[in-house]
Amino acid sequence: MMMVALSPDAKEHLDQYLKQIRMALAGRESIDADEVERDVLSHIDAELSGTSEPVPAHRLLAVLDRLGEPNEWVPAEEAAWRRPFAALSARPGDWRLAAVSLASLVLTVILMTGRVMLWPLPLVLLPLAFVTARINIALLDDRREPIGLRTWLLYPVLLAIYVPLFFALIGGPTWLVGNFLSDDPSARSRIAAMTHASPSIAAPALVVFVLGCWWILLGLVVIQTIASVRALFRPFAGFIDRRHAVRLTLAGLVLALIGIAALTLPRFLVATVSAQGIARPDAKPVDPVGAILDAFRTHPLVAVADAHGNEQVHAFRLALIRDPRLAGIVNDVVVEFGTARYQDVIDQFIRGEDVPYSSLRRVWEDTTQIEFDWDLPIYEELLRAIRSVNAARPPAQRLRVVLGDPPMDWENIHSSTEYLAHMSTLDRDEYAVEVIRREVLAKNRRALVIYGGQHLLRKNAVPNANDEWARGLVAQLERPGIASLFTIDPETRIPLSASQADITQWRKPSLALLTGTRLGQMRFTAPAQRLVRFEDQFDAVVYLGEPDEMTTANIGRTRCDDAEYMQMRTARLSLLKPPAGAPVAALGDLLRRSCEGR
Amino acid sequence: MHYSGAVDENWTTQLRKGVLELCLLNIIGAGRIYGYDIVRQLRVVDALVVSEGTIYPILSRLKRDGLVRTTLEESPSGPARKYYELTRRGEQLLSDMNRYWETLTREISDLRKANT
Repeated sequence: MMMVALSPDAKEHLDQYLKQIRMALAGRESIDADEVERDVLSHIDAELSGTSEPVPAHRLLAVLDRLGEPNEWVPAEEAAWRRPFAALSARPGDWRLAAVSLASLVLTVILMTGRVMLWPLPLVLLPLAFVTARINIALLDDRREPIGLRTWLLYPVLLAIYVPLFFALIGGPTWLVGNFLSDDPSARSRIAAMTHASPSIAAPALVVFVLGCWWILLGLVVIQTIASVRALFRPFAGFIDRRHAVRLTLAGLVLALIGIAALTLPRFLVATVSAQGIARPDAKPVDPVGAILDAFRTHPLVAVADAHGNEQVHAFRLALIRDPRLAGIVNDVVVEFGTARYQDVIDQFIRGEDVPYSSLRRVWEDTTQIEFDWDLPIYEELLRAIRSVNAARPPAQRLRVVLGDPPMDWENIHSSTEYLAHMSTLDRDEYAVEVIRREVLAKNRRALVIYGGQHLLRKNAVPNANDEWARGLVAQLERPGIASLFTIDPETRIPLSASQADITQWRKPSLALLTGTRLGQMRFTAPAQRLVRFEDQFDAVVYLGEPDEMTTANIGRTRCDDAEYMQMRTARLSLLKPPAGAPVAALGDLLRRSCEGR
Repeated sequence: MHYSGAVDENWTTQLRKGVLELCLLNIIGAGRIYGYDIVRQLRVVDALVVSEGTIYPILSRLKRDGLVRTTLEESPSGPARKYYELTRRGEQLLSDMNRYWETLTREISDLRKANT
């Protein structure tokens, strides 16, 4: 406190001078700014004692002039790092340092976007641009000089750093979590399974929860370090105060609560529904063709599971193929029971051209599978039915059969070892996915996919498996988001009436959507397996009758009397033998029984 | 008297820095003294001080380094005054610096005489 009375002008000059000294000393913890101010006041008081009061401004300014610039109160060793920069901004109105900042930024952009990057020069130039801009602003503050038009030189540099930094700080770990969930569908599925929410809700909910927690943490930190935040984002953060930090914390709290609610509510509801025994509605039978037509409106692929050899499933497929309502809606029929090696043969046949039977039969006889399933006449009959349907339709509505089994060179397979070695290099589902992508999806066509039920499963039934996804073609198409399928299980083994008694009254065939129904809630996997419900595996079921009503096709007399065929198939069946003592018949025995009509 | 222009500025700055510290210690070494009086005494050495504001930071550093200690005393005519005096360590350093200064100036003087 001064004893000498100052005129209002002089007082204003003194306040300004002291303020500038404090700014110059800001952040220098080794210097006690209060002590420096006491020294200044004491000096001025001593200097002006005896002067007539109030001391006019010019007398005070003379004293201040002898004391020197406010930044000279900063010890020389403290300010050493500033000297080169101060030299570039020596006088009020000096724009050189600002120009250096912007030039560094421009050069960084040119190097980063140009052909010659001169690495790691951009890595040096960008921090240089930022640091020089910050120093320039600090020097301007020292001199109490407004930034003025230098804004155009300095702000682009600062914003180039601050904007990404701001978003990085606001997002924090949310960016990492979001990217991880976006890149890893299995992680999304695991979270969905843990929370009982759908992946499209669980993953965003987790991101919202993480963001909320981060904002709470960030807000609390900002409350404690308001001055540092202002300094970090200077000159843009001068307005930030404690209230903003509190609001950020509260917003984080709200987000975290929303995230928690979205993550836990489905599990809670499931538990509540389960505990209260609230019954799901019964599945409703509908016309299968109408439902499949509806499915094709939203899905490019409709998959119908094939219970190999089942005659009821075959009859259903035949009716489907022949139904005129599907004309022009379905373009392709992708089948498991034909080898892609003979795609040209089947194309000719389906187009109605004459194809020697000796060539045609290779389509189903030479797949990768040694069993005689595809030799059953029902599969040949399906191909002939498609050929007949095409014959009666205009070209634009004709079906194409796409063979999904990988090409197999049986001429080079002579032993079990060779066969197993070759099969170990194949992933039949992966190949089918590739064929579907190339022949159907890439051409914007719609396909009926006829594959064994195991290939159409979505969920893995292996207990404690890390990956919930199955490995079949549906999972391989849906998991990476290549395509979404509508999958139908014409069920032949599970007594559906055990879950819903009135099913036996349904018309055969009838289709029922599974999601949200009592039937969909039915356990699909064996007790020893992981719990997977019917609706998790398929979108719909086709009721063809109770399991005891199902019949299996026989190989047929024509083939059984064909010595050459029997020799070929028997030889291939012998490539795989059941383990000694296993309670299953050898494959060769199964063929003989089928020939005997048993 | 200012030397800038005639003499390399960096050289004078460095020389001034060391000598100013020596002068400050000598002034304080003469006896307990009020900060403002130190500045007043130094005014007569025109070549040493660019602005008076630079002196106080040096005094602060000498205090931080344990070479001087300060005491505040109430003043009847103004704010409390800060008095400076040497510590034992400051006295020792001043003695060493003065001895070195005398040797340096004598030998430089002899050198110059021999070369003129």
